[in-house]
Amino acid sequence: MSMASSDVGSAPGPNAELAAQRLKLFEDAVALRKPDRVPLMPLALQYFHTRVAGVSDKDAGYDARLNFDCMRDATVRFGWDWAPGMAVPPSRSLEALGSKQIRWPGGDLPDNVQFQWVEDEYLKADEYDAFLSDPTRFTLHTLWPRLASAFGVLGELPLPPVWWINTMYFPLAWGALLGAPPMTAMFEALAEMSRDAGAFMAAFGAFMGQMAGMGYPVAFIGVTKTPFDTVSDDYRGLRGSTLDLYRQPAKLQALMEMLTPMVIGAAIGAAKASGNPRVFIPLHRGAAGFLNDEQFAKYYWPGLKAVIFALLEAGVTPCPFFEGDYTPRLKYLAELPPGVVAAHFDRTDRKAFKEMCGHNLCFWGDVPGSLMVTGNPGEVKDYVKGLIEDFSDTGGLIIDGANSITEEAKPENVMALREAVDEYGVF
Amino acid sequence: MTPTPQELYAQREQRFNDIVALKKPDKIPVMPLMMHYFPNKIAGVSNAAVQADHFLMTKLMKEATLKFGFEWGAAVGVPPAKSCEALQMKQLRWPGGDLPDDAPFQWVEGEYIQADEVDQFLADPNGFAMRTILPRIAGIFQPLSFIQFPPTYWLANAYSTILLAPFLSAPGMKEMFEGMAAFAADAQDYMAAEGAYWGEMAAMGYPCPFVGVGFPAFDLVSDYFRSLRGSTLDMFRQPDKLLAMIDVMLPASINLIIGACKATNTTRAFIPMHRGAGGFMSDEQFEKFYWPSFTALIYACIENGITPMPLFEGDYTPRLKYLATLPPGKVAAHMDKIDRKKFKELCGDTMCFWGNVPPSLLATGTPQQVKDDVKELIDLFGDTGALIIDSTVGIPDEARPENVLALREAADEYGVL
Repeated sequence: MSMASSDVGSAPGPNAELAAQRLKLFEDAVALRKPDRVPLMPLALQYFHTRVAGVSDKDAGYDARLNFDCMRDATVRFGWDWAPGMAVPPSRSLEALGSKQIRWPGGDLPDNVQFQWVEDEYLKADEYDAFLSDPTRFTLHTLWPRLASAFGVLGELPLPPVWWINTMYFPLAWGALLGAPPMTAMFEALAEMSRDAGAFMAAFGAFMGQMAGMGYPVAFIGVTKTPFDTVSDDYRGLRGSTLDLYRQPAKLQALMEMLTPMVIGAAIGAAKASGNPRVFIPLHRGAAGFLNDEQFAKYYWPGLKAVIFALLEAGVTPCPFFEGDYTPRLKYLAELPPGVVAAHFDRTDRKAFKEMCGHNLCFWGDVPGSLMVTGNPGEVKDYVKGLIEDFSDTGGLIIDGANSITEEAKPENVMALREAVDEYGVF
Repeated sequence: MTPTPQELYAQREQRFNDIVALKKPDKIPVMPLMMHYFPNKIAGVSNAAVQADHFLMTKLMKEATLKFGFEWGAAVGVPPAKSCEALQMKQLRWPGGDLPDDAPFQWVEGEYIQADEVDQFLADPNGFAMRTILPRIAGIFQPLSFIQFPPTYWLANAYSTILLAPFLSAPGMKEMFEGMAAFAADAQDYMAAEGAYWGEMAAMGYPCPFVGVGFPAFDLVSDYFRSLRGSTLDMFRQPDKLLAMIDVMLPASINLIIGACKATNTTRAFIPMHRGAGGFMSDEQFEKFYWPSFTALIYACIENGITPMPLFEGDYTPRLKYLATLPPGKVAAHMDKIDRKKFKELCGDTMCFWGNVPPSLLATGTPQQVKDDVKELIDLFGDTGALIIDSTVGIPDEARPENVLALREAADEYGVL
């Protein structure tokens, strides 16, 4: 954890100490050392912070500064111990790209609907060989035109790009291709994305500065996924990857092997570049119901372990979000090295967890979304009290909703999380 | 009765196609492959001015075509300055850039792929090209040198636009995309000028020689990436890697030609050739490194209904025995300084003969000397009529106008078959 305190704020102001204290709550809980108090640290938010401020989902996606202002205000208002990750893709970039894989409010979705992921077989069952033999070509020629309309024109580009511009006749040679209006449009779209990214980074930077100034750490900046989820979520779809398990497991494996260094590189790169040593790893298809144990052991677990170990080796704290029910996988999770993985849970049986993984992992999350949306503050507090009772022996506990703070949560229930840790969580 | 422009167009197109197909034409045409700066020089306009203004350049092209009685609108052989500027090209120098206004543009040959980088290039040609080669040849691509490749993971998840934000907003990145958009806009402008030019020429009865350009795979490697020195050493030190690079370049070159022809609805492609000439390599090396991928390119053109127009620059006399094996009547072979009698003997049944009037003669000779040379060509090839009049690499920049006019006069005087 050598990088652990590097992200509390570049300006060591009067609140630097406060930020360090808050971060220590997290670090203690992860390390299974009893913290001063049970921390309340939501992992990542989509629209709770904006909706509670009366901002539309559309504006949340189009106005990064407004979005981060809402995140700052919600963090302070609801007494969180850090600023959660912001998990809404910037809409202007999606619009510039003409993204077909994401639908967003203000795009073709109504203004108050959360963005949607469009899963599909972007990589067809019979295209593994082409992808594996020349990933860059396949990505540019085939995948990207399917993912974003601005890239439609890439399908026409002669590859490799080795001689695109370095012949003296380049305008003759491919002026006809480059001069096509969709090509200009693509570069303009990329420039627009670049401008939007600049605006996003400026808003994000200002936000981090403000949070640091007020003594709040920021949850994470880097995000990565497991090789299996990358294949299944992003390329083959659940149906495709499931069929592949039976029909072409070797190709599925080969693609995961190709992706492994990329997903690791993306995580470590983001952690190093930002100085924030925590990386969020959303997990999808490893949950019970998607794979049997044998398949999990063979196809999912090795990739997840590879990512976790590589991050640990690079001094990065992996924050896997075990979405869905991981109770049947606890026997695998028990193998992870103790006190270094910040494991966030959705609907895993906490008694079984305590028994099997209490020695190596903290328990983070778990407060049901349904309770946050439809329950009352008393019920929420009771639930948190139950969690604290179960984990108070080691202190390996961080409070958050099962899917972090869901957008439909009642504000008074979110406030009840804070009241509960203050009331029951001081050790 | 004076033929209409449509009839003239059809006649000229027919004449060229007949000659390529080794069918005797009605007369021998004057069809320059291309021009660089001749049209602007005779009009008193600087090289820099036409390099920067596509419409000015095509206007002067048109004037030269009409003035000198060419039978098609010569192709433009000058890279546009605005595109070069937008890209911050380092591999080209141009008048109005850091060259004087009246210098011709220059190619900066270098080892843009180092000898010990060939493996990296071969392992991921696309990634290496973007990460390493493009930043070396054009300034705006500098940001590509520090981003992660392959780009497979870039757009791969719901948070990609967030995750890409730091690198998309990195220094130089926006400028790179803006530069590419400026380059694309200039290419659009260029194509608009070309389109207007070809449209105007066609309306007056002048066909367009070509739009598509492709390169023999060996030349792609040698001219653009390894340089003459590098590729020559490779023939001895790492021949297998050289061949592997050629294998990567070949489909790229084929796709480039087919793409350009399809996009512009044209059926002829120019293939400039460099390192296959006598003097650069031995016959044995030619057979191993140059000829196989060259013929593959030629056959790919033919299979796709495209007439390949290779410019055999330099002296290809020692290669005539290979050229004789090309499919007869399919290749519009343009010659530089070849032994014309040997050509007639070895390739007269295979290919037409196009070009070869020495630029030294056009630049320093008299009209009579030019006419005599054209007459000699017509005497030699008149039996089959498989001849097109032009200088060695199109009309040279320094040609005397009266000598260029002499090409026309000679064709009219001696070339009616």
